Amino acid sequence: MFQDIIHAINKATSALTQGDLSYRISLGSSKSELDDVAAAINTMLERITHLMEKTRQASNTIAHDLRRPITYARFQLEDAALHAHSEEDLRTAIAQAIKHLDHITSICGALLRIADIEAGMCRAAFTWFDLALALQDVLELYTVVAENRGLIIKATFPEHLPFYGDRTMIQQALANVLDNAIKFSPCAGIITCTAHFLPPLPTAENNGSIELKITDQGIGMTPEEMAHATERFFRAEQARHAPGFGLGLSIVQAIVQLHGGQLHLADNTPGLIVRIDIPLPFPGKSATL
Amino acid sequence: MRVLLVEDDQTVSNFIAKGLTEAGHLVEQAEDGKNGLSLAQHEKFDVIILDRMLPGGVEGIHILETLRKQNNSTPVLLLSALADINEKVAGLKAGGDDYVTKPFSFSELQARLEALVRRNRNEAQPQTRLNIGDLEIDLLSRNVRRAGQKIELQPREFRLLEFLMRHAGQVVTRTMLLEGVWDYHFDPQTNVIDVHISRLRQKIDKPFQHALVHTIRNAGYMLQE
Ligand SMILES: Nc1ncnc2c1ncn2[C@@H]1O[C@H](COP(=O)(O)OP(=O)(O)OP(=O)(O)O)[C@@H](O)[C@H]1O
Ligand SMILES: [Mg+2]
Repeated sequence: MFQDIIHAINKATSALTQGDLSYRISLGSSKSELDDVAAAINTMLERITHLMEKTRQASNTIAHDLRRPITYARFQLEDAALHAHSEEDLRTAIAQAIKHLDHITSICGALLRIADIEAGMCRAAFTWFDLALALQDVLELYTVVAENRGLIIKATFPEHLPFYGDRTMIQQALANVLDNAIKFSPCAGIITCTAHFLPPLPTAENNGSIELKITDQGIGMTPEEMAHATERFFRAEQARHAPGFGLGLSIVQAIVQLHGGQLHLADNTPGLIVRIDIPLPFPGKSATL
Repeated sequence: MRVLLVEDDQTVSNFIAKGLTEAGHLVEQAEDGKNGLSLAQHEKFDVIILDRMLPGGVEGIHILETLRKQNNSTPVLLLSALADINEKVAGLKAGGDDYVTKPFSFSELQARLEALVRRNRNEAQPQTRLNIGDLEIDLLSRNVRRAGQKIELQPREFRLLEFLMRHAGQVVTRTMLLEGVWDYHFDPQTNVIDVHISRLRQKIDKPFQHALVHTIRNAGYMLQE
């Protein structure tokens, strides 16, 4: 009996070692213990296969998405080398190529930033600060951009909002969400930004939470698109014409998770609602979220 | 100005040296930390460009700390391949004056170097009034006048103008403005700065004969008569 189990496990692991990810232990008809073990191992194999597939896809998309600006830069330079008639032509082409290279730098920067945040090391830099002031600063930076496009940003939050986390990151999260709200809105419309404190539930282990909500009246997203929105490089079909790499929300997601919070997307008919909930720790035992 | 450049990557080092020499500066190159430190200790420079990671055991940060301990206050600009904001904070804490991440554009580096050197010279006299041409701002009363006419600015617009005036005649990059005026340390995705500059222009340039705020192609902005 035990020998059967060991034999089956042995076969499965050596198949896996040799690269056969599709090998599964066959399940007998009897409800024996072997079947329980076999089922557990099969589930594990399933999971490994899935993770490997995900990793493979992720590096594929990264390679693919980097190829685009590289291709553009290459075209530009090659074309200039072959066909430029004047110094002016050459300079324009070179400036264009540099722009594409800068895009690659931005993409790499964003990917590294996500990796850094996901590694969780930045938690050491968490402090208490006033979220209201931090949000105000970002809003001020973007309000002018919104107005330029005929959009109004309406912000409502209390005068002070004690918050525990990384100030720069929270500002970046809001900036990315606002950038989307502006970018995916037609000219005219209202963007709202609200933040408030939610007291803890009697059963909760946290000290209440902060809810940050940004709504717009733009093109919005289908439920299907929302499900993929935070994936690296994801951009919905109608979004492709707008500038961007599909990394903004991936960064937001990583930042929110680092803070132990949650990111929700919902329909604003028309437009998008982005809600971020972040729990607050008790003052004093601040290091554990 | 006289620049000490401590950078082990020959390609990067020669690229910077060439650009700075062409701009009329004197550049001394060192390939490792030991040489860099010894040059910095024995000669006088207006600014030092220091790579964070150097071969041969003597790290950029170590050079920096040693110099500061010896009361050498030459402005230091750190170069690094690490974009991490914590790295940046560590570099500035160790006594660095500015921090640029690779890959960078030469105009960004040059603008920052010039700002550092100028700041170092100006630090002695604190000013309460700044002026350029017929534009004048009072840092205490926060009054702004051009050709005798009072101009109303929002607080942030005032800070933006103040920053430009403190760097008058120099190129100021968008990143420098984001950091210096908004204390913003990440890529804002869109060109928010351009929008703010155009607002400012509406107020301080539009109603007058000639423009003071100039766009410097592929680099940034400059306030100049
Ligand atoms: N406010 C919004 N309204 C409609 N669609 C949105 C909105 N925000 C995000 N999306 C959709 O989700 C996608 C992913 O957003 P994300 O911010 O990650 O990427 P991006 O804005 O396209 O590029 P980047 O943020 O890198 O500049 C967008 O391309 C768009 O399809
Ligand atoms: Mg975005």
